[in-house]
Amino acid sequence: MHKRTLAALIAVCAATTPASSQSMSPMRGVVRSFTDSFAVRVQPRNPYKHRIGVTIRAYDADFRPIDASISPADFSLGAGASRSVLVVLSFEGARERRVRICTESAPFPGKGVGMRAQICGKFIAYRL
Amino acid sequence: MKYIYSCVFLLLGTTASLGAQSDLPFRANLEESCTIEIRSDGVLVRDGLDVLDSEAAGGNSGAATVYTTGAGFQASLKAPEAFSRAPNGTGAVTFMTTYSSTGATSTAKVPGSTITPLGVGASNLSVDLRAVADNAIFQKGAYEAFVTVTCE
Repeated sequence: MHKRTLAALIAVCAATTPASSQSMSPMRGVVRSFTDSFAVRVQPRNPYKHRIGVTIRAYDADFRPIDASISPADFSLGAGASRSVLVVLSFEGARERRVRICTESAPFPGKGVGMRAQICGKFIAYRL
Repeated sequence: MKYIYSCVFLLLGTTASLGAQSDLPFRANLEESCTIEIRSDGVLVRDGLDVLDSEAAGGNSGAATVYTTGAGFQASLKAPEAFSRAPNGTGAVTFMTTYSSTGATSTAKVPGSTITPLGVGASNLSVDLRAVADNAIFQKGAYEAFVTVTCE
Protein backbone atom coordinates (compact mmCIF):
# COMPACT_ATOMS: atom_id res chain seq x y z
CA MET A 1 0.00 0.00 0.00
CA HIS A 2 2.89 2.34 0.85
CA LYS A 3 4.47 1.62 -2.53
CA ARG A 4 1.22 2.50 -4.26
CA THR A 5 0.88 5.75 -2.38
CA LEU A 6 4.51 6.60 -3.07
CA ALA A 7 4.09 5.90 -6.77
CA ALA A 8 0.97 8.04 -6.83
CA LEU A 9 2.81 10.85 -5.07
CA ILE A 10 5.65 10.70 -7.55
CA ALA A 11 3.14 10.78 -10.38
CA VAL A 12 1.39 13.86 -9.02
CA CYS A 13 4.66 15.66 -8.38
CA ALA A 14 5.64 15.08 -11.98
CA ALA A 15 2.30 16.09 -13.38
CA THR A 16 1.46 19.26 -11.47
CA THR A 17 3.34 22.33 -10.45
CA PRO A 18 3.00 24.16 -7.17
CA ALA A 19 1.72 27.72 -7.05
CA SER A 20 0.79 30.34 -4.55
CA SER A 21 -1.61 33.21 -4.03
CA GLN A 22 -4.63 31.55 -5.56
CA SER A 23 -7.87 30.38 -4.06
CA MET A 24 -7.08 26.95 -5.34
CA SER A 25 -4.41 25.77 -7.69
CA PRO A 26 -3.88 23.99 -9.93
CA MET A 27 -7.33 24.16 -11.53
CA ARG A 28 -6.52 21.66 -14.28
CA GLY A 29 -4.22 18.70 -14.34
CA VAL A 30 -3.31 15.39 -15.92
CA VAL A 31 -2.01 12.63 -13.65
CA ARG A 32 -0.35 9.39 -14.73
CA SER A 33 0.05 6.54 -12.31
CA PHE A 34 1.48 3.01 -12.41
CA THR A 35 -0.83 1.80 -9.65
CA ASP A 36 -4.55 1.55 -8.94
CA SER A 37 -4.48 4.86 -7.10
CA PHE A 38 -3.38 8.34 -7.97
CA ALA A 39 -2.81 11.53 -6.07
CA VAL A 40 -3.46 15.20 -6.66
CA ARG A 41 -1.99 17.96 -4.56
CA VAL A 42 -3.98 21.19 -4.40
CA GLN A 43 -3.29 24.46 -2.70
CA PRO A 44 -6.35 26.28 -1.35
CA ARG A 45 -5.95 29.90 -0.32
CA ASN A 46 -8.06 32.26 1.78
CA PRO A 47 -8.51 35.53 -0.14
CA TYR A 48 -10.40 37.19 2.71
CA LYS A 49 -9.14 39.48 5.45
CA HIS A 50 -10.51 37.15 8.12
CA ARG A 51 -10.17 33.47 9.04
CA ILE A 52 -12.42 31.00 7.21
CA GLY A 53 -13.23 27.31 7.46
CA VAL A 54 -12.22 25.23 4.44
CA THR A 55 -13.38 21.78 3.34
CA ILE A 56 -11.86 19.79 0.50
CA ARG A 57 -14.13 17.32 -1.30
CA ALA A 58 -13.80 15.05 -4.30
CA TYR A 59 -16.48 14.52 -6.95
CA ASP A 60 -16.72 12.51 -10.15
CA ALA A 61 -17.29 13.99 -13.61
CA ASP A 62 -21.03 14.22 -12.88
CA PHE A 63 -20.50 16.03 -9.59
CA ARG A 64 -21.36 13.01 -7.44
CA PRO A 65 -19.30 12.72 -4.24
CA ILE A 66 -16.63 10.00 -4.41
CA ASP A 67 -14.42 8.30 -1.85
CA ALA A 68 -11.00 9.84 -1.45
CA SER A 69 -8.28 10.02 1.13
CA ILE A 70 -7.93 13.75 1.79
CA SER A 71 -5.42 15.10 4.23
CA PRO A 72 -6.40 17.38 5.69
CA ALA A 73 -10.06 17.49 4.62
CA ASP A 74 -11.25 20.16 7.05
CA PHE A 75 -9.17 23.01 8.41
CA SER A 76 -9.16 26.73 8.90
CA LEU A 77 -7.08 29.30 7.07
CA GLY A 78 -6.05 32.69 8.34
CA ALA A 79 -6.27 35.84 6.24
CA GLY A 80 -4.31 35.45 3.02
CA ALA A 81 -2.96 32.06 4.07
CA SER A 82 -2.74 28.89 2.01
CA ARG A 83 -1.79 25.30 2.62
CA SER A 84 -1.13 22.15 0.69
CA VAL A 85 -3.71 19.33 0.63
CA LEU A 86 -3.08 15.83 -0.68
CA VAL A 87 -5.96 13.92 -2.27
CA VAL A 88 -5.47 10.22 -3.07
CA LEU A 89 -8.09 8.53 -5.21
CA SER A 90 -8.61 5.08 -6.67
CA PHE A 91 -9.05 4.21 -10.34
CA GLU A 92 -11.58 1.60 -9.19
CA GLY A 93 -10.42 -0.72 -11.96
CA ALA A 94 -10.72 1.81 -14.77
CA ARG A 95 -7.87 2.94 -17.05
CA GLU A 96 -8.93 6.56 -16.86
CA ARG A 97 -10.75 8.65 -14.30
CA ARG A 98 -12.02 12.23 -14.44
CA VAL A 99 -12.52 13.90 -11.08
CA ARG A 100 -13.24 17.27 -9.59
CA ILE A 101 -11.47 18.37 -6.43
CA CYS A 102 -13.22 21.25 -4.79
CA THR A 103 -12.32 23.77 -2.14
CA GLU A 104 -15.46 24.72 -0.29
CA SER A 105 -15.30 27.57 2.11
CA ALA A 106 -17.61 29.55 4.28
CA PRO A 107 -17.02 32.14 6.97
CA PHE A 108 -17.42 30.84 10.49
CA PRO A 109 -20.98 30.80 11.89
CA GLY A 110 -22.11 34.12 13.20
CA LYS A 111 -20.90 36.14 10.23
CA GLY A 112 -24.35 35.97 8.69
CA VAL A 113 -23.12 35.27 5.18
CA GLY A 114 -25.65 33.36 3.13
CA MET A 115 -23.36 32.23 0.35
CA ARG A 116 -20.62 29.63 0.08
CA ALA A 117 -17.78 29.59 -2.38
CA GLN A 118 -16.92 26.37 -4.19
CA ILE A 119 -13.87 26.30 -6.44
CA CYS A 120 -13.37 23.09 -8.37
CA GLY A 121 -10.34 21.91 -10.28
CA LYS A 122 -10.78 19.30 -13.01
CA PHE A 123 -8.28 16.47 -13.23
CA ILE A 124 -7.84 13.52 -15.56
CA ALA A 125 -5.90 10.49 -14.34
CA TYR A 126 -4.51 7.75 -16.56
CA ARG A 127 -3.33 4.36 -15.36
CA LEU A 128 -0.19 3.37 -17.22
CA MET B 1 44.18 72.86 -24.51
CA LYS B 2 42.45 72.73 -21.09
CA TYR B 3 39.16 72.51 -22.93
CA ILE B 4 40.32 69.41 -24.86
CA TYR B 5 41.51 67.66 -21.66
CA SER B 6 38.17 68.40 -20.02
CA CYS B 7 36.33 66.88 -22.95
CA VAL B 8 38.48 63.74 -22.84
CA PHE B 9 37.89 63.28 -19.10
CA LEU B 10 34.20 63.83 -19.55
CA LEU B 11 33.99 61.21 -22.30
CA LEU B 12 35.97 58.71 -20.24
CA GLY B 13 33.67 59.27 -17.29
CA THR B 14 30.58 58.78 -19.43
CA THR B 15 31.97 55.57 -20.90
CA ALA B 16 32.76 54.23 -17.43
CA SER B 17 29.19 54.96 -16.29
CA LEU B 18 27.72 53.13 -19.27
CA GLY B 19 29.92 50.13 -18.59
CA ALA B 20 28.53 49.85 -15.05
CA GLN B 21 24.90 49.71 -16.13
CA SER B 22 23.08 46.41 -15.85
CA ASP B 23 19.47 45.36 -16.14
CA LEU B 24 17.89 43.62 -13.18
CA PRO B 25 15.10 41.38 -14.47
CA PHE B 26 11.83 40.74 -12.65
CA ARG B 27 9.89 37.72 -13.86
CA ALA B 28 6.60 36.01 -13.05
CA ASN B 29 4.96 32.86 -14.28
CA LEU B 30 1.32 32.81 -13.23
CA GLU B 31 -1.00 29.82 -13.34
CA GLU B 32 -4.61 30.21 -14.35
CA SER B 33 -6.75 30.51 -11.26
CA CYS B 34 -10.22 31.23 -10.02
CA THR B 35 -10.99 33.17 -6.86
CA ILE B 36 -14.43 33.74 -5.42
CA GLU B 37 -15.01 36.61 -3.06
CA ILE B 38 -18.34 36.71 -1.28
CA ARG B 39 -18.93 40.44 -1.00
CA SER B 40 -22.27 40.62 0.78
CA ASP B 41 -24.96 38.28 1.98
CA GLY B 42 -28.50 38.34 0.72
CA VAL B 43 -31.56 39.31 2.70
CA LEU B 44 -34.80 37.35 2.39
CA VAL B 45 -38.10 39.07 3.06
CA ARG B 46 -41.64 37.83 3.10
CA ASP B 47 -43.47 37.92 -0.23
CA GLY B 48 -46.83 36.52 0.81
CA LEU B 49 -47.36 34.03 3.62
CA ASP B 50 -45.57 31.13 2.01
CA VAL B 51 -42.72 32.82 0.13
CA LEU B 52 -39.42 34.37 1.19
CA ASP B 53 -37.69 36.22 -1.63
CA SER B 54 -34.59 38.39 -1.82
CA GLU B 55 -36.11 40.24 -4.79
CA ALA B 56 -39.21 41.33 -2.88
CA ALA B 57 -39.43 44.88 -1.55
CA GLY B 58 -36.97 45.31 1.29
CA GLY B 59 -34.86 42.33 0.33
CA ASN B 60 -31.29 42.32 -0.92
CA SER B 61 -29.44 40.27 -3.48
CA GLY B 62 -26.22 38.56 -2.45
CA ALA B 63 -23.06 39.73 -4.18
CA ALA B 64 -19.99 37.76 -5.17
CA THR B 65 -17.06 38.58 -7.40
CA VAL B 66 -15.32 35.83 -9.34
CA TYR B 67 -11.77 36.61 -10.42
CA THR B 68 -10.29 34.51 -13.22
CA THR B 69 -6.80 34.77 -14.66
CA GLY B 70 -7.38 32.49 -17.63
CA ALA B 71 -10.01 31.36 -20.10
CA GLY B 72 -12.17 28.27 -19.81
CA PHE B 73 -13.71 28.76 -16.37
CA GLN B 74 -17.43 28.54 -15.70
CA ALA B 75 -19.75 29.73 -12.96
CA SER B 76 -23.03 28.38 -11.64
CA LEU B 77 -25.07 28.28 -8.42
CA LYS B 78 -26.36 25.48 -6.25
CA ALA B 79 -29.56 26.15 -4.40
CA PRO B 80 -29.78 25.03 -0.76
CA GLU B 81 -31.66 21.82 -0.02
CA ALA B 82 -33.00 23.14 3.28
CA PHE B 83 -32.65 26.04 5.68
CA SER B 84 -29.58 25.72 7.86
CA ARG B 85 -31.50 27.66 10.50
CA ALA B 86 -35.26 27.91 10.80
CA PRO B 87 -37.91 27.90 13.52
CA ASN B 88 -39.05 24.53 14.82
CA GLY B 89 -41.85 23.10 12.76
CA THR B 90 -40.72 24.54 9.44
CA GLY B 91 -41.69 21.99 6.81
CA ALA B 92 -40.41 21.24 3.35
CA VAL B 93 -39.31 24.21 1.26
CA THR B 94 -38.54 24.56 -2.43
CA PHE B 95 -35.62 26.86 -3.27
CA MET B 96 -34.89 28.64 -6.52
CA THR B 97 -31.83 30.70 -7.29
CA THR B 98 -31.07 33.15 -10.07
CA TYR B 99 -28.08 35.28 -10.92
CA SER B 100 -26.89 37.97 -13.29
CA SER B 101 -23.37 39.17 -13.98
CA THR B 102 -21.58 42.35 -14.93
CA GLY B 103 -17.92 43.13 -15.51
CA ALA B 104 -15.74 40.60 -17.33
CA THR B 105 -18.85 38.46 -17.81
CA SER B 106 -22.08 40.09 -18.86
CA THR B 107 -25.21 38.01 -18.37
CA ALA B 108 -28.86 38.85 -17.86
CA LYS B 109 -30.69 37.06 -15.04
CA VAL B 110 -30.60 33.28 -15.52
CA PRO B 111 -31.56 30.29 -13.33
CA GLY B 112 -28.81 29.37 -10.88
CA SER B 113 -28.13 26.00 -12.47
CA THR B 114 -27.19 27.71 -15.75
CA ILE B 115 -23.48 27.28 -16.45
CA THR B 116 -22.02 30.56 -17.65
CA PRO B 117 -18.57 30.78 -19.29
CA LEU B 118 -16.54 33.41 -17.44
CA GLY B 119 -14.54 36.14 -19.10
CA VAL B 120 -10.99 36.77 -17.93
CA GLY B 121 -11.00 39.31 -15.11
CA ALA B 122 -13.52 40.23 -12.42
CA SER B 123 -17.12 39.11 -12.87
CA ASN B 124 -19.64 40.61 -10.44
CA LEU B 125 -22.46 38.21 -9.67
CA SER B 126 -25.76 39.36 -8.21
CA VAL B 127 -27.45 36.35 -6.61
CA ASP B 128 -31.10 35.97 -5.61
CA LEU B 129 -32.90 33.27 -3.68
CA ARG B 130 -36.59 32.46 -3.46
CA ALA B 131 -37.96 29.99 -0.92
CA VAL B 132 -41.49 28.61 -1.24
CA ALA B 133 -43.01 26.66 1.63
CA ASP B 134 -44.74 23.48 0.53
CA ASN B 135 -48.36 23.72 1.67
CA ALA B 136 -47.48 25.82 4.70
CA ILE B 137 -46.68 29.34 5.79
CA PHE B 138 -43.43 30.71 7.15
CA GLN B 139 -43.72 31.28 10.89
CA LYS B 140 -42.00 34.10 12.71
CA GLY B 141 -38.35 33.49 13.52
CA ALA B 142 -34.87 33.53 12.03
CA TYR B 143 -34.16 31.78 8.75
CA GLU B 144 -30.82 31.16 7.08
CA ALA B 145 -29.93 29.28 3.91
CA PHE B 146 -26.70 29.06 1.95
CA VAL B 147 -26.37 29.39 -1.81
CA THR B 148 -23.20 27.86 -3.24
CA VAL B 149 -21.33 29.81 -5.91
CA THR B 150 -19.24 27.44 -8.01
CA CYS B 151 -16.30 28.25 -10.24
CA GLU B 152 -14.73 25.39 -12.15
